Amino acid sequence: MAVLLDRLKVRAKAVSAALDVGQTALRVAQIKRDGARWVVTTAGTCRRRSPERGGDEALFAARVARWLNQLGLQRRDIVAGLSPPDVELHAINLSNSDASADAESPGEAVRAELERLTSFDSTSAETDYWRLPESPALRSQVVGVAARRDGIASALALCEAAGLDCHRIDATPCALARFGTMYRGHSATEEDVWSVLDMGGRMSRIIVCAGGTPILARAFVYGGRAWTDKLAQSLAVSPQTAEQHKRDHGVAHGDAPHGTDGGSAGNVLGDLIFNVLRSDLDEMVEELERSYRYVMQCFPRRAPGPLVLVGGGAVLRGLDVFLQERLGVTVLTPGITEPEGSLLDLTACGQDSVSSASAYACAIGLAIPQESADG
Amino acid sequence: MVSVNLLPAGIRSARRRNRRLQIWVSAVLAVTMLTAIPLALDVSKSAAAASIESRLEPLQSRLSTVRADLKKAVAEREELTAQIARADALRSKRSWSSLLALLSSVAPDTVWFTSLRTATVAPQRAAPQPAGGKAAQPQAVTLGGPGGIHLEGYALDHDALYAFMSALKDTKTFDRVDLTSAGQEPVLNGTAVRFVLECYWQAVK
Repeated sequence: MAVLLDRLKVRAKAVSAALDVGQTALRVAQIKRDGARWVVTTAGTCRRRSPERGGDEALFAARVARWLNQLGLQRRDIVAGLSPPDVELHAINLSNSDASADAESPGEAVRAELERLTSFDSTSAETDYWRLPESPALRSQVVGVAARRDGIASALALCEAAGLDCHRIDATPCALARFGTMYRGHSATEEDVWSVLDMGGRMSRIIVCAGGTPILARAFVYGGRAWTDKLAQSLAVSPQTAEQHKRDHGVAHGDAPHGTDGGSAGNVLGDLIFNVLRSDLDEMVEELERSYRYVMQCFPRRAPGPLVLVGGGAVLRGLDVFLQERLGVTVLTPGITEPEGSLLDLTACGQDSVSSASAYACAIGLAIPQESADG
Repeated sequence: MVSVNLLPAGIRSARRRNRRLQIWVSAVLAVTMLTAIPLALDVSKSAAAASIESRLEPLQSRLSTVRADLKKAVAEREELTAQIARADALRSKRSWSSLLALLSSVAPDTVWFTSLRTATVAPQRAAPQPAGGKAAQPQAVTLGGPGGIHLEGYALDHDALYAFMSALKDTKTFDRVDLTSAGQEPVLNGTAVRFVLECYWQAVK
């Protein structure tokens, strides 16, 4: 009986599904274990319509339920993910007494610190934390996570209305770190400092990790729709056309070749786009450099590792080459670059694999079980 | 690798309770099923036995009726068999005038008869049943007509006798013509061959 139960558990853990609850869209991903690898079997997006954003959650939930039925998920128990501003992450420096008094479980101390640090009413928040690797240069011991209860309730209500059983609510920065670790696969080491840059429609965020642990998570407003609007305004074209130009021509700076156009001579529009976005790109690079530098100072013995570029904004053509040249680290783009020994098979994300695989990074990361990433 | 769970503690404990409850319910259901299966089999078998028993009663009454019918049919068959035997016996009855005409037509002039009679066949009865068996049943008696004729006479010589026998056989009236005895005997002033013939009829078709 015990063997049978164990086998059933293993079988149940062979498939995992997750729902990335975003402000503008829901993304679902289902992954299936294939040996040491995880294969993405289902991925889909359900965008919120304008009236539904106004608060008609029941209408949206009904549509989500229909959509999920069409997708044919094998599992009904899922992991949901919340993103800023519904969650806040704070590095916490526990006092020596707190750290030593209950070193095994400093939950109460973390909660107390989060009550002081969170921007929203911390009494109406759910909290959790993870430990940081030890380093003499790092004063914080844990990263605390606080999530708004109304955000959690909203996600749970959506899951319930859609017929899903939410068994865990995770923070998307952790999911992105898990995605990056599995995507890098055997090329990842426990000793390097690497990062995930998630360029969303409304905001971008960078998660800098040491080994498999997220050390720093920052959000900034560059990228995605802001760049599309800026391009549309500067080039006097519609946002749809501007989005298409981003995909087709991307950014060309100086004489550096980008994509497969063969050089800057034939990519005047790329130069134009680069000039329009130059200030934003420069500021973004500064943010990235600052983040890398901070973590490298915290872990001076570790080597700088690659940057994994994900999110819908990663479709800006030539951005990976630009960042690689400016930051001096390898930039990996799921759907374009497949690291040797990668533990993720993203082929099912769609033919337009650049945008698809990148866009579902968060949902895929949520679906990756913790024990799998550890093992 | 890092993950957090922001699910409220109340919901988590409720999920744990539900999971334990599901496991218990599953276990109880499994045990119930395992217990219920033999019981259900017993009940099913009892129902099947009752059904068979209810069907057995009319079948037994039908069986006795059929047995009575069979007995009657057997008796009828035996009666018919006896009738057929009698009919066969009657059919085997020969016309003596024709037989005498036949004999005189095929007998050479040098052959004369001194005796002619039928080879009588006694009525046959089946062998009696051994003692200790069932009560003795009356055995059917098979009737049969004479199987042939017994012919005695004299021939002047053996050639005449053999010619007579050949002619008898050629008539196809007899199945077999056996020369039982033949010997020289003084007759009047000379000798003649005294013979005895057993002639068996052809089977009646």
